[in-house]
Amino acid sequence: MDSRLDKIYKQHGKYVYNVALGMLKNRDDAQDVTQNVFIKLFNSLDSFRGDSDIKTYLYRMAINSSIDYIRRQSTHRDKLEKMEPETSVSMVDSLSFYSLIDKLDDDHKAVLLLSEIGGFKYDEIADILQTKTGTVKSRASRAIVKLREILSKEAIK
Amino acid sequence: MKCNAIKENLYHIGKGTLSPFEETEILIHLKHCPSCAAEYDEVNRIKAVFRNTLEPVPGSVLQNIKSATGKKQGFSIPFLKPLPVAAFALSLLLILSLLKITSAPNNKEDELAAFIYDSYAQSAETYDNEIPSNIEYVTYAY
Repeated sequence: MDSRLDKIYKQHGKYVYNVALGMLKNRDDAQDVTQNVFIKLFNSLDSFRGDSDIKTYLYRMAINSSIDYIRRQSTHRDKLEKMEPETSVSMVDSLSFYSLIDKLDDDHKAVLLLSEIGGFKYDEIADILQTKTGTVKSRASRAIVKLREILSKEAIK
Repeated sequence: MKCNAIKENLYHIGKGTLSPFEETEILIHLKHCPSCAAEYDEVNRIKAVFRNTLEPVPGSVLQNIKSATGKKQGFSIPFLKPLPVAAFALSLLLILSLLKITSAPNNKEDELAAFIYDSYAQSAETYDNEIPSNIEYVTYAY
């Protein structure tokens, strides 16, 4: 593997994988997204000017690919439900936290994951999600309030 | 800032949107307000949950990336730039074609072509020799 890609993978691989895992709550899909993101990065590595561009690209790809996966799966799941109404997917225990996050909207989930797993500041998240910093801030506020509600409900159960 | 405003901003501490003054104001408030301090602990607990749920990437991911990027690397030779390679190939082609023109025929088709050409040249010579020498060339004046 290219030494530059190797270095980037060592630095960001774990976080990109966990962001994808948080979005998808499925390890196989998160692995697919992670490897596709890095393979695509390798193909266009020469076109990047600096490390910050690469970082933005990596996480943007991870979020967008995950959202694509969710959309494809929901279409697929709709078809399956029409065919087999009793089919249900049970969650693995270690993914229980991600299944709680899954109750948030994709936009809110993305902001929290990028903020907490990626360690990004709001202006960087705005750059990744191609939106305004103010939007990121309000999404983060709503997401944390909602997540607190979800967690307190789970604690009561 | 009042408690409601403080609580709204608790998650934003350290995220780059609050001014240093606002952050300091919130932190001072937290020292004196148990309710907001409890809320802040809760926010930090959620942040810690995120950090603690981080999973290592399975080794197969790196293997797949290596095999996918390795294949692509195999086809390219980094020290060979496209333009010099093309120029070299073109000049090689030119040299080979020149050699082909100047060299003697070395296959049956070329031998046959040479034979036909020689026969034709020979017959033309014979025909020229058959023309009587006393015939004068006539030039027409227009």
